Amino acid sequence: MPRILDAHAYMGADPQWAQLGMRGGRLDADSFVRVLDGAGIDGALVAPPGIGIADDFKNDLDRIADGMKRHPGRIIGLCRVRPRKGTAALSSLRRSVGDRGFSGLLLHTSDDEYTLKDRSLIDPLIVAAADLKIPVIFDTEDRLWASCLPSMVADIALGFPSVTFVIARMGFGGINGWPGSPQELVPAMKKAPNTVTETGSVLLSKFIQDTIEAVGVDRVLMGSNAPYMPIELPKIMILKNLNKLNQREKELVAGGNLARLLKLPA
Amino acid sequence: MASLVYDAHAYLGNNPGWAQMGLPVPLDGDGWVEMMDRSGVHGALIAPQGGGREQFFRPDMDRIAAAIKKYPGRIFGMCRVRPRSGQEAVDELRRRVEEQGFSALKMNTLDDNYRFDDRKLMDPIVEAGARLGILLYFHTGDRHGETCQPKMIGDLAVEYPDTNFNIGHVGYPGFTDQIIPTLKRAPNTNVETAGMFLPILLQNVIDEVGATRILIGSNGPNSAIELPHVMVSKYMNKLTPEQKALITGGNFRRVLKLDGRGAAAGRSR
Repeated sequence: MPRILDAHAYMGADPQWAQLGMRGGRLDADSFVRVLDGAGIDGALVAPPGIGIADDFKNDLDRIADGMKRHPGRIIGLCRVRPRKGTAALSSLRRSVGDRGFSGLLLHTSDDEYTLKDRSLIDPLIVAAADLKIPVIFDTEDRLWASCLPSMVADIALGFPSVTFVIARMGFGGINGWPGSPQELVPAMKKAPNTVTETGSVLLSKFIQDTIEAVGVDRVLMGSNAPYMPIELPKIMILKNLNKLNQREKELVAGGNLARLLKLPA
Repeated sequence: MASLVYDAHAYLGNNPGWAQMGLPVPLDGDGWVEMMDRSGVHGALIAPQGGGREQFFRPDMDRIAAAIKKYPGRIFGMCRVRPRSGQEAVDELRRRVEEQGFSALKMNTLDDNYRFDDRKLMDPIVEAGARLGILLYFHTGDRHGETCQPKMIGDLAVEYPDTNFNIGHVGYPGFTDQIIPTLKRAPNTNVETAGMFLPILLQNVIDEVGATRILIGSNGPNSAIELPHVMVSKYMNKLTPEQKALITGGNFRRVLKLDGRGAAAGRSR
């Protein structure tokens, strides 16, 4: 069985996680690997949680870097930065990738109250990501859907054809009853062939199958939004319930596509 | 022996979209039992799917009636009505419950473009459901959530203290902040988790009102029916095993009076 890989998870500290039985709201590398083991997942792309903005995510990036050393191939780091920090953000990205082996850049418009149309803020980071040969993940989160639409991701992606852009949470706006339109995602992905999407927070089987049929099975990644949502749920959904897919297609969504994107061993 | 798992929110019937998950269409009782068996779910409370609105849900409710008969103790029926049909809706509810063994009423304001605070429309149906001694289930949240707010269910529930009211989807998204005040105000209300996979939010509710007031629901087959019980059993680890067993099945049995206890939620514990 090819590797099962989660394309959207968090590690570090968030007091809310105490509500899930995590002592002190901390999820360290060893605990995270135990969670992976319990769910039958081989590895995960992990970012610092949003609450870490208070220290520009430094402590949690350190925890993730330590976890990558202790559990290579299982904890895969995603560098999260605040674009308004300018050169400090660029330095954090270059150090995380160049010195510590992080595999991608996460940008979340809630972190600095911007929109994906603020190109003067975003473009320097995309240029750096292109130089570092890493994918860029744009979180298209529930409350902020209007600041990070899939169409905005497509516009950016067209300007950087060598970079792969991940439209996180399948665009989210309009899905699960949230404001916005679920009709944004597929046209954006068709417009920009260097985009893929990721299922974090979306557990509606038909929506995912429809998207796969529209853009191709190699452009959808399994993501969980763990630990805010249980890490195991998308795996169950894809492997056991998306039964129009054949086994090879399920394996691509559940890990093969992320392995290809990050150039990980099969 | 492990506790039985019950799903408090599911659908059956002729929804062409379900073919996208490789399911048979129409999905009937046989399909549901097969799905439950491979998902570790013992029983489910099943409503007709929303696409049957134009036919007043009758073909799918006939399918549910057949499934109740064929799989007693595993398939439980929700009678879905359009309140603007007035006495016809009341009569249909009574017939489905008394003659076909349906266990609950289901209402969704999308079905007839109405609001749960339109008491002129709502009261005859709620009154009939209360007299029949069944569970009353209400969809809340979503893009039309303004018409079906949890606090409106609380307003109804306080007038029928011996009837169980389920607040579907935990008011998600958009109205989850009304859940705890409503549950505190009306002790005969419960929430049901379908479509809401945020365990921190659920734990916050449990901390305030207790583990007896939450039932898992899947929204299946729109979402995989296995997901909510995996969420509660494996990922909500502030809960004791006893609390998990209540949420994944014990509360369902109490609310549907499967063990012969007749009291509404807040009065039985």
